Amino acid sequence: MDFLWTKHIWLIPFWPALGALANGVLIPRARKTLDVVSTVAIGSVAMSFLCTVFLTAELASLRIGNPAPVEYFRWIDAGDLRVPFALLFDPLSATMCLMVTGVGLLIHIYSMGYMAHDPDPGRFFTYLNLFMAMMLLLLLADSFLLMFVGWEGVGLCSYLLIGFWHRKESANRAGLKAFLVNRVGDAGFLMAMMLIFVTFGSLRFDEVLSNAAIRQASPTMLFAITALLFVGATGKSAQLPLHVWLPDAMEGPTPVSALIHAATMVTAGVYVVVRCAALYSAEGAASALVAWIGVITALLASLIALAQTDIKRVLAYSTISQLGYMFLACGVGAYVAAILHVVTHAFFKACLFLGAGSAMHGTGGQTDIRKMGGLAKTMPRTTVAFWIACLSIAGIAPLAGFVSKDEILHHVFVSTYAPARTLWTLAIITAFLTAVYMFRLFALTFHGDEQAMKRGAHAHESPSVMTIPLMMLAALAIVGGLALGLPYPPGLHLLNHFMRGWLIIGRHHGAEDTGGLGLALALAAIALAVAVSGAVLAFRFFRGPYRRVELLQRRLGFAYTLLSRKLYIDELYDIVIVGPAVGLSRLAADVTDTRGIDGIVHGAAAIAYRAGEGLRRLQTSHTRVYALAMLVGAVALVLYLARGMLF
Amino acid sequence: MPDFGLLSPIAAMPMAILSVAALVALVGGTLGRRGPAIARISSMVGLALTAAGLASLWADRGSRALLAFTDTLVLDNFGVFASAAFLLGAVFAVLLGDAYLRDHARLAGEYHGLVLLATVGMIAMAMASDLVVAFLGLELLSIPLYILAGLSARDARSNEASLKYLLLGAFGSGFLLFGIALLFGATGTTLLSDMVGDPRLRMALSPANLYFAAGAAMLLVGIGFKAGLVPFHMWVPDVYQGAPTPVSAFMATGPKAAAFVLLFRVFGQAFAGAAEQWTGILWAMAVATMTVANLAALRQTELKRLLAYSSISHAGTILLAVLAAPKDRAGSAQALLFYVVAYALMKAGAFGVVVWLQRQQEGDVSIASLRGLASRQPGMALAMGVLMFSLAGVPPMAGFWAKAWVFSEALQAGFLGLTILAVINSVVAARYYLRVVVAMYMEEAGAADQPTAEPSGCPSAIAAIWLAAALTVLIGLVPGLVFVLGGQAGAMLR
Repeated sequence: MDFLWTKHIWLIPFWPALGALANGVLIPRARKTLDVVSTVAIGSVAMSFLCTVFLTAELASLRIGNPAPVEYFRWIDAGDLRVPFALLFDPLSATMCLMVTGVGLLIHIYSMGYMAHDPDPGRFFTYLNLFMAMMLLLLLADSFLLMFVGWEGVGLCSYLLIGFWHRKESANRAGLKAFLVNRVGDAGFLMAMMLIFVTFGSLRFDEVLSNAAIRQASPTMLFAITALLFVGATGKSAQLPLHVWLPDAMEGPTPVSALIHAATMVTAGVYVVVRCAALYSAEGAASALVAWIGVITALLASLIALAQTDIKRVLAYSTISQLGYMFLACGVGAYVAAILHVVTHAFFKACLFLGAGSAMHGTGGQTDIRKMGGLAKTMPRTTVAFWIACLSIAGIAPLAGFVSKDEILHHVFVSTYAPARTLWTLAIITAFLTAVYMFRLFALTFHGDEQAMKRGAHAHESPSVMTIPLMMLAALAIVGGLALGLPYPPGLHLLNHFMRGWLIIGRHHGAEDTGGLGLALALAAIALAVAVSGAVLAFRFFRGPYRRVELLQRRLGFAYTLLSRKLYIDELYDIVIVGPAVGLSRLAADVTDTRGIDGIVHGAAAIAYRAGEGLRRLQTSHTRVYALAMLVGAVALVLYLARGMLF
Repeated sequence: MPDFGLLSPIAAMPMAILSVAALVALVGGTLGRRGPAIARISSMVGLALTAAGLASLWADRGSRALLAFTDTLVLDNFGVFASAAFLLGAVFAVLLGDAYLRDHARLAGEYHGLVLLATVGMIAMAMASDLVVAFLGLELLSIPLYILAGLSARDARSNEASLKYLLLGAFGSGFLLFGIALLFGATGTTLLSDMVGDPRLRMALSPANLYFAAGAAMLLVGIGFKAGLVPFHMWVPDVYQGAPTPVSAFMATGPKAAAFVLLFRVFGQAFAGAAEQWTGILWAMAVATMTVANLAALRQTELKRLLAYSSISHAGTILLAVLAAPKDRAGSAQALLFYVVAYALMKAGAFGVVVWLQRQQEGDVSIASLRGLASRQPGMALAMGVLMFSLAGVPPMAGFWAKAWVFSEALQAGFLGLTILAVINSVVAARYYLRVVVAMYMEEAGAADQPTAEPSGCPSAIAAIWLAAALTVLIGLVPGLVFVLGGQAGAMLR
């Protein structure tokens, strides 16, 4: 067990943290040119990626059992609560870290081009590096508490980066919304953590997530814990009913959307559920909740995506929908499939976002797909990459998206959970809708009718620093699925193989009845047929004259309005929650605070100031005055101490 | 108590080493071109050897205090710990002095020699078991300080500071000496050790004894002057402002700590039996000191004056530890020792920043001139920010723990009202510390605020600032480092 790297897990989050410190504080403002800050940021993420690769290589060469957490120092030691600062590098965190640092590295490189004209690259890369450090801490933590530090840290960075262009009112509002909605989820996470401590007497993974400990916990408590943890997950991973912040989060710079709001942070909720697989496997009701929320979110988000006109918002709803798939997988116990989809999704969705960013870059910041079009001629590289990612997410075999989605669909279909077929049907409808909205997006942005083609003639291709990461992600979106999760023969499923020792046997693992190769092929064929028909249909329709599109919208009438207004969920929240809350705060701020508390505080401050002024006048700098003060003081002291005799 | 007897010189070893180093520095400093280097090396070597000597005198857990030189010196961990804190202050004075001595090279011998001599005086105060020795220590501390304050002979303000300090200091020393004489009249001894232990002397410490009452009052005037307690504080802002800044840094750290150590030995230990007599007046002095200093500090615009008032305000807080001493001597000694170490670090660092700023601009350093420092010099602004937060008592800095433990001791001793007043004062104080941070981080530099010169490197001053800031954070994160040792030191006073 004496490996070179095993003890040095800390290096993974250390490098980006150092990068953030350097970019944020240590480098004087005058030297913060784009070259300096981006080199520091990219270098630190590259170091982190290398460390992850080395550690993973060592982990893979371990033949037996699971690695133990590495304790660095005593962190919290208060009464019964003992939490060491310990990091855990097991197959699950290894997979996630590889994805985060790998995709993160590509997006950092891309950002160098994308943010080239921004006046404040120093701040941008500081936040981005800080985010990487926090995300890696979240993934590597060995206790719920340390995980929560990372959890809150990524939330903070997300807030800072959504509002990065803070002179824009809408960006500030979006940042605030993301932060506040996430607080709801965080409260769930916190309460879950408290219940875990009450139930298990510990917050460390090895003590909480052991089968022996779980068997002794009461089912009610387990349900409460898993349900509350899931509330946390719905906040971070933008699931119903807490999904409303993610579309607005698109106000941030596009690399941020790609890194945080597509590839990494939003999958933290999935990670938490998979990490706690032992708890969810033991508690059926919560798993069912996860599955249903997942599939309903997937379906509704893909419906809404059909009617959005902002290129990034379509992608945001697509992210919500894909995250729904991941939760669906978790709900039926297919944890490896969920992680596989996390990874492939990171590839193709990062590629889509970076492609969208490149398109916006080439058209001078245009985000309305009705005003775009015809970019295929002028931006060939972006077009090809975006097209590949579209095929991948739509589920065209044998691309990455097909492989992971098919695995989820297969697991859902053979799940022993009673309404499994209903879940599967909803999921396959979502798959069809996914293909439709993605190819609507692709057709409108890169092709379109004659008018659109004319508009696209003025665009220009992005520099290679942006297109090369795009190409690499596109390549991963092609091969990532087969490389990691080859469906047949079973022994060659790399991720299954890697995680087999880690996996706690869930309800549907071990002696699972997969239904044989025939069923698998049949399901795959259905999924492929659905995807191809959706893609072809949408591409042919939306490539044609835009008049036809508008005609269809009019025909659909209210149904279309409902979808384009995002089911009026934001409006509902405004009336039910935001309005009363703002009213109450106004009351507290204007009446109680301004007139009541501020009055007292300002009054006291004014008195203190006047007193200070008086004392200052006393300080005349005349030595004789000072000596007089001493004398008066001395007399007072003598009189006081001798009071017994004198009076 | 056991006595060293013929081995007494061992107890005086740190003072002897430091005195020799001081003399070498004083004489060596006159030796032409090489003089400054000799003085500097001599003082550094002297400080290092003294530190080693102190470490060797550190007694094991459970040991008893030893007396030396016919009971006039006491060797216990309390004194050793306090002496180490004084050395810390001297080290910062030496490091920061480099920046000053660059322009005043011929003063190197005086500077180093006098700093070391003053430190010898402080150690004598901390180890004194006899009021006459304590007085000698105080004078040995004061006289070098009078000279140091006026080191810049061509600077009228420095001259004024020196003269003012000398006049008022002599006035204060007069009270102190008179007090000792009256106490001798009351008890027939000047030995503090006798006053603690001898049951016959308990009578003399009774409320009925006018000599004792007057003597104790005068002693309090003398020591209160050195500690900068209201109403004997008025020299502090003028002298700190007028003296060369490294000297101000030195005066704010060691000498103040020495005054409190002596105050603790006299009132917290020797006069503990008569606590009900002096508690009221010290209570009033603590409240007056904190309040007056904080209110006055609110209106200061000049950084050195602000720091001077801040140091008066901290003195008021440390007084809480002396007040709590009769109830829990070991605990309050521990809190006091921790406080003086944390305080020395914060103050040395903060004055260090003033030293550094004065390399770039002439004359006074106003708070306004800190505007925009965070963008000009982010590292320095960060260090200053850390120090200000620590002075304000914000966790996780050392200043937070210092305050927390003193307050907790005061509460345990039953001073609820006093502690509440102290906490309110801390809130007021946060206002002016944060103003410095706000100026550095949130205000843009105006055209008039631009420094007249580029920051010229003075590596040892910068090192001192960073050392102070880093230790402040380190001790804040791991307070046990200092607190455990302080506990061992306090435990010996039982």
